[in-house]
Amino acid sequence: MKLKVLIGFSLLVILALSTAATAQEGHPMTGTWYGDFGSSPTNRNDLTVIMNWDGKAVNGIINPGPDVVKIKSATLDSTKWAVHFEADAKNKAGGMDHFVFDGTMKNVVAGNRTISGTWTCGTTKGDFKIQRDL
Amino acid sequence: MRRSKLTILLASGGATLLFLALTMTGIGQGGAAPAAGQRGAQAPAAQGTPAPALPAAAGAAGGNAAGGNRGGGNRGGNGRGRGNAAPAQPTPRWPDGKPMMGSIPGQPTGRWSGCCTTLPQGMLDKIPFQPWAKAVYDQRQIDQFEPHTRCHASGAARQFSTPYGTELLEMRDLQRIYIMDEGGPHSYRIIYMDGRQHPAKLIPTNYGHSVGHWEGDTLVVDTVGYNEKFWIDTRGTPHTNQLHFVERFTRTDSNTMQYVATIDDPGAYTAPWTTQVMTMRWTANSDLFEYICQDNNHGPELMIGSQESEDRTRQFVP
Repeated sequence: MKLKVLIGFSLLVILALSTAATAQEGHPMTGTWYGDFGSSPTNRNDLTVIMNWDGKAVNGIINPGPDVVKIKSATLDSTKWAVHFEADAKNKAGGMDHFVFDGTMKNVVAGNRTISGTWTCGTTKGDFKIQRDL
Repeated sequence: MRRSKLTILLASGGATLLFLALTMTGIGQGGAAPAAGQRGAQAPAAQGTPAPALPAAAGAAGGNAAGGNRGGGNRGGNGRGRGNAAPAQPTPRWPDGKPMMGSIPGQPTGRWSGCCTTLPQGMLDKIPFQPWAKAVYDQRQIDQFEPHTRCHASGAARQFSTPYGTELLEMRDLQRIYIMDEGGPHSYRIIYMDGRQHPAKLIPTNYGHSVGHWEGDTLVVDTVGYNEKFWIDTRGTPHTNQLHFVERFTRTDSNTMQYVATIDDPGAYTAPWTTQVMTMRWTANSDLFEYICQDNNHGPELMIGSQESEDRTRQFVP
């Protein structure tokens, strides 16, 4: 029962945040991005990233809900459409893991543009791909 | 009988040649409307003249059949020398001396067109883009995935660059001006002329919140509260929801509206900038028509990923 309530609450939070972040044609990183990341094709995890441009910097969160992670820094190199963002997330042992994502934005002008690339967390690494929600 | 056919043939040929000659000299379609100070222009009406200085019936030289659907004969009038403009007359005015911004009561209606396709026109190298904004602008010159093609209402200057024209409807008793653009979702913008301020809290919208006032003969429209779901011009000049957009409309004669916009958007530019003067032209004796953007519109398919294999090395316009 508790799990159902938790899932329902998480869905409501995601829905609310998604509604607030429906911008399409402003800064290319602004919006809600869905996809996955993992260390291999068979080891995948859902990845939701919500980013917003305030005129000077990109800020945002990863995986909204009970385990939400705040993005520490995010940048766009528009000469190469290179995207970089970092975040610290609590691990199961109670410590912090530092994630670094580096990718390339494709289909920049389209609302459903994508970012794909690689991520690292200590010695662990893998790939990710997220697509912007229309 | 044979002689009769030959006569008809020669007469038809002569008529065609005459038509072509008239068309090329601009006589057959009323010609290009003269600019202020040129042929057909008259002395401007005095400020505050009690009786409005109305131009002659606008439909005299038009001959434009009402367009009933898109693709009809009513879609021209881009104001670039082939519209249905009557010779320019002085700026039409209301009894209180203010310029009329749209049609003249009691006369056939008209619309404005031919303006504002690209706000950076003639000054691209002087615009204080943030790096991302310039990169996006450059990319949009290649991939023109404009929201307007998917029937999104498009505010700011984009309202005036529809090929089908834009109507400015003054409701003086309500102290409002409506701007209705053809194409897109068939929507409209309201400019409040009653002296109100922008609300402190606004839900961002495609048209934003517009308030207007007069500075002499110029209508100044101040708009904030934009969202980021549209382009502010046809060429994709970037903006963010921090955009503060100020437009200046000056009707210099019955056929001409000068338009200047100031873009103040710290989210996309390092400083405010002002466009060059752009010109709208009046197409007389014509109405907006029922345009259903969604009919046979393939834009959405190109936007939702079914065309991922689209060649992006060439310019692409959905």
